[in-house]
Amino acid sequence: MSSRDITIAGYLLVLALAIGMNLRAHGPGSRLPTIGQVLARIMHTRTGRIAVVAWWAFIGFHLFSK
Amino acid sequence: MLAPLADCLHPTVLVFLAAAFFSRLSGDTVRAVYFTVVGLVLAGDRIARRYRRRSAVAAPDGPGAMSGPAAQAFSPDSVMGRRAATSRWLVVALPAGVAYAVVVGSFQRYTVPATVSITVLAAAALVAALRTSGESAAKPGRLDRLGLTAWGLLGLGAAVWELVALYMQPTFTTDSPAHPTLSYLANGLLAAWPGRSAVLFGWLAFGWYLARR
Repeated sequence: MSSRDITIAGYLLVLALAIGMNLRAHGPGSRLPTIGQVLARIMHTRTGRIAVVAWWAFIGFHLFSK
Repeated sequence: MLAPLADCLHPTVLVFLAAAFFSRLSGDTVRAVYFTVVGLVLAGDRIARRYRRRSAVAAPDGPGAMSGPAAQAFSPDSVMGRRAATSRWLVVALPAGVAYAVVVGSFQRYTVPATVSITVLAAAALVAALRTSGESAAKPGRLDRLGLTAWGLLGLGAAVWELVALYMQPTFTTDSPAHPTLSYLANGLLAAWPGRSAVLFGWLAFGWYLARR
């Protein structure tokens, strides 16, 4: 297994964990919050809302802008 | 006396300053400046609001009082109204978003047209967030502390993994196929027009989702 495979496997593991945790959170009686609930909690404050929008803007800059 | 310092050291502010530090380390001055400015604006905004609240308590009808739609338009308390409004706009926003994704996706990455198109939209969203985001009068709903920690650890793990890949590159500015960062992996998808348009539409859709939260 090359270092490239290990690096990509790490990203896939994070993705799989995120999907698995979110599915689990939607299950009945789960104490785990959904990703939507976590996001809503972060955006509950003005600082958090502006910060999330700033990260969203950064993704656009990062992928497409000079 | 220490309150303004606490505002400057708020975790959200520190995250942006840390991002600026790592961007500077990787030789990306533009992004380092962006993160620094956002961090400083957030810190300044927190300090300014602290003083506004103080003067509003001293003089409830004075100039420091929060009033008008800007104070609460994007507070969690107005979420139902906001969702209703965005649902009404969906019939216009959806074709506009598709057209934007197709047209801007036709531009090569890192060119002036792509940069201007993204910057204008992102700047408009940031200005709107700054002008209209309000604090909530209601307490946030309780979320399980252990569950929040689990999500936090996952986010931290993802960030560390990306940083490790970045540090394993020959230099911060030289991509390495052996230690690909997420940006490097995205290059293949973003090389062609359809891929760029699909990613742009996803970016817009996520922005729309955020506007409804």
